[in-house]
Amino acid sequence: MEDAVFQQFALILVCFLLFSLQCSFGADTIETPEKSNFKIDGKVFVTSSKDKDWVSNTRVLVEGGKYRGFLRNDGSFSVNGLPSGSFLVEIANPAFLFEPLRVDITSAGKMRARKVNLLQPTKLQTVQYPLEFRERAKASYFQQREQWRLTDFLFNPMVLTMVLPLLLIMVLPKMMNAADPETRKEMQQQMNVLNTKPNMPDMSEMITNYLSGGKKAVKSKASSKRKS
Amino acid sequence: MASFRITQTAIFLSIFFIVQGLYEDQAGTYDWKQDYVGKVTHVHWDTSSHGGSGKKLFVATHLNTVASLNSHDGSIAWRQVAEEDSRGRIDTLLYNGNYMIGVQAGGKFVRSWHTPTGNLHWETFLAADQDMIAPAIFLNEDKDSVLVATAGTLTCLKTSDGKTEWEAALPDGDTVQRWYLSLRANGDIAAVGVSPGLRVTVVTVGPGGKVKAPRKLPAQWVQSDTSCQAVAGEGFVCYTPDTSALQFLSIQDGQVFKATPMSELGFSATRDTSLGAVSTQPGVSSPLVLLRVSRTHMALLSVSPTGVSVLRDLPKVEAADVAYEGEAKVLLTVQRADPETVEFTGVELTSMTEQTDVSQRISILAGHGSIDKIFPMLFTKKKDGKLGAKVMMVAQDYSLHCAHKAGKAPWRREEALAYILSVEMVDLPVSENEAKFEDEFGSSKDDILAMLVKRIKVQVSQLHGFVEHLVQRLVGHRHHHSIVSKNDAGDADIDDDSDDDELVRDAFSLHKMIVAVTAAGKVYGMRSHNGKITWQHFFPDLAPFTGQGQEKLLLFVQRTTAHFPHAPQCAVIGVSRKTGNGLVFAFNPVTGAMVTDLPPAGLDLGYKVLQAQLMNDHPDENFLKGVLLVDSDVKVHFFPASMKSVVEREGRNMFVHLTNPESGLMKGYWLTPRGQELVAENVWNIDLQGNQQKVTGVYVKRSNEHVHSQGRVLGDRSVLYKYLNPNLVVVIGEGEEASASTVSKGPSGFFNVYLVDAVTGHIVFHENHKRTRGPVSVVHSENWVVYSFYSEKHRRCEVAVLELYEGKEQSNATAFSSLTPPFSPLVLRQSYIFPVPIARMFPTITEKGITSKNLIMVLKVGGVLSLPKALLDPRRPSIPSQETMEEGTIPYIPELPVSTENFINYNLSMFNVRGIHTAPAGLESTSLVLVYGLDIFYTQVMPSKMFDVLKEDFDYFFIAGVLAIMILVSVMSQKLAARKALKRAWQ
Repeated sequence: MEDAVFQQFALILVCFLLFSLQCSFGADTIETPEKSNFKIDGKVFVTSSKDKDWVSNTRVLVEGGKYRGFLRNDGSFSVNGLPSGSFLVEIANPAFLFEPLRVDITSAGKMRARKVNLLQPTKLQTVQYPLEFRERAKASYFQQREQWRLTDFLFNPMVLTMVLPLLLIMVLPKMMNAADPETRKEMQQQMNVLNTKPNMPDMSEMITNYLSGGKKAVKSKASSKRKS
Repeated sequence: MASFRITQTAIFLSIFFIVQGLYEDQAGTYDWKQDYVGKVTHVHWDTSSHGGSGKKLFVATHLNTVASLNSHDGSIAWRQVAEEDSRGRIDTLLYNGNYMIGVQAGGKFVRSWHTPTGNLHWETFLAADQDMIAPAIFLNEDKDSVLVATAGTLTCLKTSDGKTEWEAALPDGDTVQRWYLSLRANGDIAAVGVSPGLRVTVVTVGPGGKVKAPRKLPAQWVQSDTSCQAVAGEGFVCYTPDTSALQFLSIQDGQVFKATPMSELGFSATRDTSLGAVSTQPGVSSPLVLLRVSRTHMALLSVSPTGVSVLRDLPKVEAADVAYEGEAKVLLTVQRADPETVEFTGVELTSMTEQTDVSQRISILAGHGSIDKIFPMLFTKKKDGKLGAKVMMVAQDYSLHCAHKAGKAPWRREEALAYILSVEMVDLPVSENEAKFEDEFGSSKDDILAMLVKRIKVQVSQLHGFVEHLVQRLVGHRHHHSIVSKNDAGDADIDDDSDDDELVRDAFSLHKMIVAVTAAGKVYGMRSHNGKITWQHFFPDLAPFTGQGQEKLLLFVQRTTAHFPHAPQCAVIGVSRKTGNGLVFAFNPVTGAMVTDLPPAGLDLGYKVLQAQLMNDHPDENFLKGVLLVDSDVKVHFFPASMKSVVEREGRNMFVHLTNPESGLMKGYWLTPRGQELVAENVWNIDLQGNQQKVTGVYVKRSNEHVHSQGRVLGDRSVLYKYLNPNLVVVIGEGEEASASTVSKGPSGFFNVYLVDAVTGHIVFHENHKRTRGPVSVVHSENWVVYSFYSEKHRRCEVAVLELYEGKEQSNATAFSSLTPPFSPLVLRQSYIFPVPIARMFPTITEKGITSKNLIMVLKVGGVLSLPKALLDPRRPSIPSQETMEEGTIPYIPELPVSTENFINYNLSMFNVRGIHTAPAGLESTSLVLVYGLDIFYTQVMPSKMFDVLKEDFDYFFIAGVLAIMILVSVMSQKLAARKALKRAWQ
């Protein structure tokens, strides 16, 4: 959406550019100390909010608050008592974000508003004056908290990598069972070869022994009885 | 478009960084914000007909703020903050039902505010001198016109739309510094202008703007700050402290000032003697004026065309004013009844009888100093038709007290907290039990049995404490959070639920005591987790150091809480209002108890303090760190004085450096013993060319900072060692030069960055930035320096970083010595575009310095941004390669990302921020941040995420459930397997 707006703007801006080239400003105009009283007019629009609460907590900051403006009920503002120079005009509101604009005022009082381009400060993209600020977006200060969903869990790559070997372990032996005992023997032999350290005590075995220690004794008794 | 790119880069960077934002439900759990308005100068009670009167208070303050307060609890209904400098200063505030009119910056701006919402109604710009104070009055009772006197003009504006009705040129516009306006009985306007050191100009202006007969009277004694009042269009009264006399001039036909000595009136003048205006009804003038003889003595004077007479002597009275209701005209006075209460008295002025309905007693502790001003409002009670009074008071310590309803406790706003100058966060002491525990290990004299008994005792008491804690948890934990404390009769400073809030350290030492020193001379102790004030002290004589338009008060933690049984100690150093000498206070930062061996009014040092620093390396046998003070004759002193012997005994080299910002001269001194004295001997000088640039800041590293790693591992597994010089200081000199190029019109600014070794005076590094403008804010930490400035050439805010490295080999691995320094360090630098203007910067600090650092940046739009230092890394490559990937550096992008998700204050905008303070918590991951200015904001940041504790949203039930299921499954499967084995055995 933003892109579309940009393209529209760009078209309008090209027209503006042609005009503004005639009264080309040196990019280096610097505030002159002489006392002169210029003013910047503008209006702030917030279309997404119905109530007018935003007006009272919106501030107009010129040059980062060196000069400040206050909004009237209808959202318009004027910053009086400015010298000539180039000014960055920002709208500060805790709930909405606005694009800053730059206003150039010559010592003769000619005004020009343009977009702020930080990377190419000399590039000129004029916008209309009096300034119009429309909210660009709602300010999002917070992250979305992650919620636990079953599908998220199931399609997690970790889970998938776990499930596949599990399937292999469960299903393959079943398939093996169907085969004849000879191949099974062969398999067992292969397994024995793989198990290079047969004398190493198996950790899991030890734990199962430990956990079911009592039962084992009973079992062994039972088996000995059966023998006799 | 720029911000569009920001979002792009933000997305790009989020590949490298986990965005460290808050979750919405976390808002307010670790952070709090308190809003203030500043010292109140003008007050109007809401008298609009709808919704009952006296519900709101409209105030204008010394911090250029217009606000509306709810009168029942003191909360802010709305607030508008103007510019910080004289452009935003509020000279006069007039009130007219739904609108109020503020005159700002000497009449440059006349603004009308809509009182229910706080929106601007209209604004008129007048040609005016920003530095003078402009008066304004309503022309008549209907309040439809307002008169504003600027330097050369008297303007009449319509209150409905701000349009000019008429203008009248005032004489002596070039010399008059201040006009006094008052209405005459015949409807004329009397304007009296004061030209400091020259004369007084008297003009009467007719209702249509016709200037009549200006008179100029020589008056050499008059100054711009001379206390004067124009009374009822008849008389002009001034008080001259030199002759301690009242000067009276009749406006009608007076040709000379008539001096009346104070003694003639029966008073003796003091330092505080001044004149004060009496509130008037709009469009009507009153012939009364208040004379403050001293802080606790006032007098009501009556002014007639012939002279001044005392109408009523008001001994013991701290503040007084006249209030009106219908026909009644009541003089309200306030005086202290006892240390805990003040007494109100109302006197009907026409009959001079006491109005007992209005009189009441209100509890205000003597610790707030005397009452400076009262703003009363009279109303007729609906029940019985009797008069009632609501009173707002401003105390000497800037606190606001408001008795809004008879019989109810008044609320209080501690407005001094809008003037914080220095902050320290002090650990709370361990609990009594734990202290005993320490004690047990501490003593080695006891035999085994005694130790055993002790241990059992301690453990029983610990168990007892634990049970108590559990009971408390079950009963429920109360939280309340308001800056407006309702003080009940009695001691308001120790809060009601004190056992709930025992001053005991928590498990991770996240709760601290914030010690805040304010320009009002007030020192506060606040609990960091809820911002509640635990203790406060008001020192009426304490004033801040001033220089270069900045105010400073020094706060040192002389002994931390770690040295049980010694109590922690903090010292505040400022200037005495009485003598101008250094003034020292020392107190226990946890309890607020003053150190007993100092005088209660503070220790006057007897010399002017030029510099003071804490001697970190030289604690005495009681673990107390001394403060080294340098006086204006570059003599060295110590506080406490006994520290001198400690320094002499240890015999270590000490160096001091002083910088004169005006002359630009930096001097280094070495402290050497000469006879009995320690003398500062000049060892080096650096001339920073004060005629070309002003030294705007000298930045040292924080002394409590730890650097965990000595070097940095590069992609090829070699180590680049950091240049960690503890004596390195950063000096910033800002200046302007006449530009050589013809394109630019004015002079272009520049600034210089010097890295100076403070022991030897060696300039380690120097950088000049041309066509730039300050203010330069600097962060100096570890082996790096970050500074922000405004580039005039590119018209944008830029941030530069310098990192210093010794190289691949370390010259001295054990300790750094400035006297045998390594070869000149490798300085890596890079600069970035910062998309929004920066107000202040400060680095985070953690317990051991293992956690990576973030920069806390306060933006002028009101956000507080937490920016990872890794983004400000001069090793960020423009073309990433395998090796840089290995090193973990982020590819260079000219613009730094500013994402609103990194705003640690989310939507709580900060206004006019004066400073930032960070402190380590007991948890390595966490750093505590306090941002102060007009508002106070406190939060915790975790620059490397929370790596040492479980997240607070850790799902215990889920983990426990999974674990239970696993156990169940294993038991079941064992059973099944056993059965299967049995079956197989039978086969």
